[in-house]
Amino acid sequence: MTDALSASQALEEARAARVQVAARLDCPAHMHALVALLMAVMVASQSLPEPLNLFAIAPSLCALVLLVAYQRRRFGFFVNGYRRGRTRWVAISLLLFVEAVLFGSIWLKESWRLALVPLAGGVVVFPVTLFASYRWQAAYKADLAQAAG
Amino acid sequence: MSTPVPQFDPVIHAPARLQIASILSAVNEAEFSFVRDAVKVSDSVLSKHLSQLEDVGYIRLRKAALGGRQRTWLSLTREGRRAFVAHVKALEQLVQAADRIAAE
Repeated sequence: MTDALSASQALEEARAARVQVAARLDCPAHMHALVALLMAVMVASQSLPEPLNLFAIAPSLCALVLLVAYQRRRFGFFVNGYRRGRTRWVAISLLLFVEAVLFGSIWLKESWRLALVPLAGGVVVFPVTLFASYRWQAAYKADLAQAAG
Repeated sequence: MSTPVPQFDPVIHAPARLQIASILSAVNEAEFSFVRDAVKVSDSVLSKHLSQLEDVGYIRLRKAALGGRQRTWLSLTREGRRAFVAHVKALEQLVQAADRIAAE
């Protein structure tokens, strides 16, 4: 029984350690909004004529790299968005959605001369990414709280 | 990664090392000071535990600059992650077995 008790305590300590990580990962609202804005800008910038649309993507990508560096400094750890668990489904769903909007709007712009479609796409991508960002955080915390291993 | 077979691991079982492995299993990389604060040990004690985990190939240490200062980043290796999951499964089996006996 003592072995079982110490095993139970060990599991609880392992779970508590993971919960500490989850508690630390509490992104402020402006971080979620910034991620959503960067994704929206990447899509919306495709409304610009070539080659300006390509140049417009570069600042967004640079900002994403800076955001990851900021996350490392602020939290003291780094978590891949595509880590296994519920988080992976949120991240993949968002990726597929943004890619569909991005390439769909580029196709509409090129095929039908609808230059403002990517701009509208960006407007749609912003709230969806914002929601997904909060969902990802909630999924991460739930994953860590659920199991010790 | 296939599901590891439950296996008790004496290297991971020590409370501080179990906490370290547990924290690292939740992230891709964690900074030394973050792990030290989370486990609530001194730099030297943490270094000692990290050496033991590194010796068996369970963790990887990487030096990199952060905010203009050199920092140490820790991550679980594939082998370390597998060992941690197998160890947790072994603990869970032990608890479940005790629960079954108590219920009988």
